This record gives sequence, C-alpha cells and structure tokens, in this order.
Amino acid sequence: MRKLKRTQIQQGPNFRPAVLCAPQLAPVSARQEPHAPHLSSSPMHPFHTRSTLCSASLAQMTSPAQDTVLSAASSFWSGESYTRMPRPSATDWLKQMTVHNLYLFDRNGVCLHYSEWHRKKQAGIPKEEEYKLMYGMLFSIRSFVSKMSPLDMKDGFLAFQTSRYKLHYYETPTGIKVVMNTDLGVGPIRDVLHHIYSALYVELVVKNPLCPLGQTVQSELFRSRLDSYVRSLPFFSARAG
Amino acid sequence: MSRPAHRRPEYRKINKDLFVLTYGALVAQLCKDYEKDEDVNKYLDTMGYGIGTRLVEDFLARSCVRRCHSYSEIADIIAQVAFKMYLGITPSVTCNNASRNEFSLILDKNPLVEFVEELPTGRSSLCYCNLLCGIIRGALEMVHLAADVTFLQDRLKGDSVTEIGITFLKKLDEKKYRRKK
Repeated sequence: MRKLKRTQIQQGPNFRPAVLCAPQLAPVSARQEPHAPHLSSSPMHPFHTRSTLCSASLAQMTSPAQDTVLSAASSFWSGESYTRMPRPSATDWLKQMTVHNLYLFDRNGVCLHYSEWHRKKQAGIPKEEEYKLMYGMLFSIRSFVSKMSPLDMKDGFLAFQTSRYKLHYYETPTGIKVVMNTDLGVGPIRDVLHHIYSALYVELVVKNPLCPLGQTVQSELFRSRLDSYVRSLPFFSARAG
Repeated sequence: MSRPAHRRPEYRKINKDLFVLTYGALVAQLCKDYEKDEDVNKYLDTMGYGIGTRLVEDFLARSCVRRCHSYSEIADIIAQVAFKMYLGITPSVTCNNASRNEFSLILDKNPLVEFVEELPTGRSSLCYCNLLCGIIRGALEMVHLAADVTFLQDRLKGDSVTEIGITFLKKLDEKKYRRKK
C-alpha cells in the first residue's frame, strides 16, 4: 500500500486527486462528523467532498522530499489531517447561510411579530403555543445563565446553536426581545438585531401613536420594511438553506 | 426600497420655538379645560407618562447605554444623556438622602419656560413643566423601576432654581418574568 502511494505521488504535479481517494474516505468522514459539531450534517456539504479533502492534503506537500510526502500521506490516511483541512471558501458558506425566522416579544411575553423565510419543519403545535414555548424557554435560559455564570455577567445570554440552526437573542432593558434563527455559519449579529429594534421597531411602531403597544404589530409598513431588511442582509440567501 | 442595512436613520430636528410654543399652547388649553390646578398637574403627569413609556424605547435605541448598577448611575444618565438628547440641557444631579434613593435634578436653564414670564393669577400652584415628571416616571417604569417624580422647586413660583426630585421606590419584579437578584 505504501509503495503504491509513493509511486503515485512521484508522478509529479499532474496527479488526479480522485486516484488517491479510496472509497474508504466516505466512512472516515462520517465517523468524524460527531466531533465537528459546527458543520452541517448534509452529505453534500462542500466540506466533505472528496476533491476538497484530497487537494487539502496534497496542498501540504510542498517539499519534494519523499519522507515528507510519505508522512503527510500516512497521516492523511490515519485521519489526523482532518483537522488541518482548509476551511470552505467564503462563497460556499454564503450559499448555505440563511435566516429561518424571527420573533419579537415584549416584556409581558406577548409575541409582537413573527415572520419566517425558510422554515422546512414546523413545530407541530399551534402558533400561540409555539410563542409561549419560545418565550418560556428564553426566560428560563436567561435566568439560568445569570445564576450559573462563573464570572460577572456582561451581556448575558447571546445565542445558542444546535447541529442545524443557531438562535440569536437580543434584549433591551425595557424587555423587548428580538430572536432570530439562522443557519450555523452566521456569526454574532447583535448589531443586526439592534438595528431591527432601533430602526424598525422603535421608528415604525413605538413612534407611531396609532400603533398600540403590548399587542401584535399590525403595521404593514413594519412588516414589509422588516422583510426587505432581512432579505438585504449579507448572510441571507434566497435559496432555501 | 429598503434602507441600506447599517445606515443610521437621520433624526430630524424641529424648530425649538415651535416645540416650546406648542407646549405652551397645550398647557394653556388644559388650563381652560380644568379649573383646578391639581387637575391640570395630574393630567400633564398622565400625558407625560404616556410619552415616557414610548420615549424610553427611542432613548435606548439611540443611546446604547449599558445596564446600570445603582440609582445614582441612573440619575446621572437621565441628567447627562437623556436630558441632553431631548432638551439640550444638562441638569446637575445631587443626592438627597443617605440611603441613596432620592435624587434631585437641578435645571438652571429650562427651555420649556422660555416664553413664560410668570404664572397667571389664580394658577399659583400650577406645575408648568409637570409633563417632564410624567415622562421620567413613565420611562423608569418601563425599565422596571417604580419612582416618584415631582417638582421640588420651580422658578416660575418664585424659587431660585427649578428642581425635579426623583425618589426611587422599588424595583418592579415581574412575577414569572425576569427576577433580579
């Protein structure tokens, strides 16, 4: 096996990556998956394609020395170089990132607004129950975080993520809570949520004397401005993520 | 079309005279509607409360102040940030009692009374700027702080300065919601 690899590599730069990728590669990547919680579980994720993996390992082989090549190749087969693979390019991530939905709660737990963009699976319960569930969970997490924090709390609860989505949270001192579910690749978006609060909710709802506070926002202007703002975000992809 | 993502909305300023004269017309109309000074004061306070509950959201959106840890910090922020932002003045803050929950804002210049020479005869106990008290009270209540806000001294009534007293009563515990400490 080792001899075969040496021969292949010595053939020069015009190797075909597919040659080095044996069918064993697929189970290796599947085994590694639980240890990489931040990756999408979709098998078609560009990170898991064979050509990416192979070109990654081959990119490390800068020295023509045989032992360097051999050690790189052997570590590649043992799976260690999995951690040294290059990150997917920015365009790969951008194609995947999207915003799933957005909730807006007030200080009494009333859901002021809800919109969704890409939601493939519903909760299976009526919307009212879903809002109560979401609010109750957020309240519990907030109090848990403040109690169990080992250091002095600065901002409190910011986000949580699962293997499929990330939930971002922003709360004002008046109790207005902005909750956005996005794809995993999205980083901290506190400023986005603050913009939704300040430039959309405050400007269009709070400052409108005809919009009563404490109930669902009926303003169509708010709905459409919020929708166009979210669609204009850099991490929003129109293709269902 | 939507606004560009991170552009700050432009805050349109209005003419100060227009604002001051409108306020004066409001108080004058209330005086016509209600005979007793206490009623006018009460109504001004109620109107201010409604304004304060909404104004606090705008204040938080624009000023990005951090969460306060003491009443004196809150009084400082009201005086130095909020008053500056909305009225263009910076009252000075003093603490009135040892238990640190009574504060005074001393206004040496009050833009709302710019065109008022003196209170009309028969209206000697009218708190002309009682709207401000209501605003502060409404705003504090929205951030879960019950407070009592009144005018302690008023230049229009003959005192040397205008002084607003804020007494913090208690932190409003939202039952079943956030529980502080």
